[in-house]
Amino acid sequence: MNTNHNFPSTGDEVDRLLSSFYRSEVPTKWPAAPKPWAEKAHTQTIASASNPASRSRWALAASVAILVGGCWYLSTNMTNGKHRPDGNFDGGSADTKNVKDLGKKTKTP
Amino acid sequence: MKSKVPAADEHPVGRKAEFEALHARHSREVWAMAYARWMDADLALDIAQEAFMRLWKHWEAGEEEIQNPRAWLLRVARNLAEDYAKSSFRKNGTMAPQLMNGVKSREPMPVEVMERAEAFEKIRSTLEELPQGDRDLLTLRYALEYDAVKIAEMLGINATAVHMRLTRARQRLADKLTAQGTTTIP
Repeated sequence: MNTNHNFPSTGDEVDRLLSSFYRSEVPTKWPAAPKPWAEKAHTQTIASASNPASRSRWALAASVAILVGGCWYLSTNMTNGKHRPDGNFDGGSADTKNVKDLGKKTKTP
Repeated sequence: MKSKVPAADEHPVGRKAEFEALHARHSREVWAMAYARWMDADLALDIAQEAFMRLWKHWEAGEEEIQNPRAWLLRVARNLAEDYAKSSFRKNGTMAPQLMNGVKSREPMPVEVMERAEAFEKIRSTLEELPQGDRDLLTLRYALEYDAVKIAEMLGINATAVHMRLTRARQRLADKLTAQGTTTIP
C-alpha cells in the first residue's frame, strides 16, 4: 500500500501538460465573498426611493388630499362668492329675508 | 433530527463572519467542482458565488440547520452546474459562433501564444471527453494541488483509490492526446 500521499512529480510529459494547463485556468485573483446583506439593503433603499409605482401613488394621494381639503375649505369659508369672516353658519338657521333678497338680485330681465 | 436555526438577520455579525470564513475556506473547492463539470473558469466562478448566495438565503430563511456546510455547498454547486446544462443561454449562447470568429483582437497574438492557446484548447476538449470522475480528480490534483488524503476526503474514497484512479485518468488523457498529436506545450 502506498503510504506517501503526496504526489511526487512524475516528470512525465502529461504531468507537465496538466500542470501548465490547470495553472493557466485557475483564477489569479479570487473574488471576495459576496455580500448578500449589503445587496438586500441596497435593493430595499432603491425600491423605496425610486420605485415609479410608489412615486405615482404618493403623487395621487397628495392630489386627492389637496382636492378634498380645497373643497372643504371653500364649502366652509365661502358663501355666495364672499368670504365669511366668522366661518360659521349662524347656528344653522336660515334667514328667509336674505334669501328672498338674493332671489331678486339674481333675477334676469 | 434537524433543528431550526435563527434566521441570518437575527445574528447579523456572527453570521456574516461565519459566511466570510466559509467562503475563504471553501470557495476554491466549490469553484473546482463547477470547473470540473464545464471546464470553464469564469462560469465556475459565477456558480461558486451563486452557491454561497444560496447558503446565505438558506440561513436568512431560517430553514433547517446545515450540518456540513462544505458538503452542502459542493452539492449546490454541482446542481447549479447541472442546471446550467439545461439553460437556454448555454444551448443558444449570445451570438452565433461564425459572428464571434470575425471579432479581431486589438493586438496581434504572437505565434507562441497562439500555439500555446491552441494546445490548451486541445487539452480542454480532451478533458471534456473524460468521465466526470476523472475531471474531478485531475482538477483537485492539478488546479488546487491537493494531496491524495485531501482528495480522498473530498470525494469520499480512500487515498489508495485516489492514486489508482489518478494514474488511470492520466493514462486515458495521454492516450487521447498522443492520438491527436499533442504531446508538448510550445
